[in-house]
Amino acid sequence: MSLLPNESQLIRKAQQGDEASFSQLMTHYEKSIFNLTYRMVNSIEDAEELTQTTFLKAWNSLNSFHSDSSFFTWLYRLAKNSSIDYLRQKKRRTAVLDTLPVDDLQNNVQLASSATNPEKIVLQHDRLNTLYEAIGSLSDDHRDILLQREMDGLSYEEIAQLRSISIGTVKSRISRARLSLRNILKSKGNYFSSSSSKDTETTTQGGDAP
Amino acid sequence: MTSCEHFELLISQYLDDELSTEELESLNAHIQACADCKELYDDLSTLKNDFSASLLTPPTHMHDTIMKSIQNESFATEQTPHQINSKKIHRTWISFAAMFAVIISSILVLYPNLNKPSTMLVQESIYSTTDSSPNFGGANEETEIDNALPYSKNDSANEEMESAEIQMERDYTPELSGSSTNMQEENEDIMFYAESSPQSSEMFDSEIFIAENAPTAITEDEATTILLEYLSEEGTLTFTGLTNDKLFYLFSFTHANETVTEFKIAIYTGEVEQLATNQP
Repeated sequence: MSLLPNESQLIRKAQQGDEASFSQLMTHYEKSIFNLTYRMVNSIEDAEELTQTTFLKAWNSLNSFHSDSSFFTWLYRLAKNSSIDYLRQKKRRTAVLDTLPVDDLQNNVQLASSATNPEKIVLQHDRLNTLYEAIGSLSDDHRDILLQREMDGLSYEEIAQLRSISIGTVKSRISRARLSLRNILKSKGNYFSSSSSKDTETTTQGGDAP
Repeated sequence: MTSCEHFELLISQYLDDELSTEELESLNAHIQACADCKELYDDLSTLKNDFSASLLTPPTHMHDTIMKSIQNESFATEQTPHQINSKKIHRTWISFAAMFAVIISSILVLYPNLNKPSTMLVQESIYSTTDSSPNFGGANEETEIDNALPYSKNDSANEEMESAEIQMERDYTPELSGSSTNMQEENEDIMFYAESSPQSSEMFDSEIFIAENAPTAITEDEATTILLEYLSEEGTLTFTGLTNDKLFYLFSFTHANETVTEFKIAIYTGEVEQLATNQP
């Protein structure tokens, strides 16, 4: 994820007990943490609670954060470990990483024009269903790394650190995962050719056209 | 088409904002010339947008709820995170306990009447929720020490502290002249109060009061242990969460005969309460 412009300053102040600085950091990362815990526990309520646990743990152990990793990597690890602990206590098996928010989507899909056009919601929902199916059929390795990049927002550097692989390997794996996904979707039909994907206004952070 | 393989990689990097200016220029030039790569670029951009669109928005109150719980913790500990250190607290605690013992004994020496009926008044004032008497600085100091250890911080330090607490009380009571039994009772009462004043925190909105009297909470593991000891039969214990008011842990126990009983354990007192039992 991109850093906040004054991130190291905010971290330092938070370490000294400044709650407002911590609040700013949290605002920047909470959506990401929420989504990644959601993918592990598959419930909005539990994801909210796990997000709270993560940030509380972060607040209480801020002095153990050293800049040898990024703040987000550190948070990411806290979140993953909290989720794993939680799953263990609930005696569930390890989370299926391709558990994606299909059912909860109807309440959450951010469509600027959706308020007046239910058809668009349905179309979007169908497309996302198709997307998730395709993601599910990727190899574990491709799926994991792609979700880390696209859903969790981890940077190449952060992924390289978390997985102890080189950045070059991260780059090429992600690229191949994307190609693989695209091929699966092309073979499923008109995922890319449907005009609805271009018409639908969504709040996104996509790359700008060159 | 090996040159396109190279550009496939660049497209992917571009979408991740990981391209240098030269690479970007080279990619631009190629896309304008190569229809396949242009199509790939469009498809992968669409995918990227779709991923973003599928991200869930956290509930609107979540941020504030988390900040509130952080504020409550900071308030209760009255210390900044980096100051909390179990060794430091241990030393601080010992000196406080010494001071506490001195204060109590000097109160009793100076006000021998406290040992008589008016002790009830003192005890009442401990339990009284409106008491703000400064004389019981001793009690406040003790609760502050308890609060100095947020339960989530370090479980083993907490256990160490709890047994040290009990040990210290036993060590100190014999040294007080004349009123050792009363002293002990008083200490136990105060300790009990220090550990179990959820009533006060429930009754008061004032955060200051909570800071002075907020007790330490038990961890999930401790709760599990308490419950396992309480239930002396075979079965499976599962942690199921917290009540909405965050004052109780919830567990469900599956007996050997497959019936399931729900339990709740008060986080601040460790009291066990049995809820419903369901037949399989």
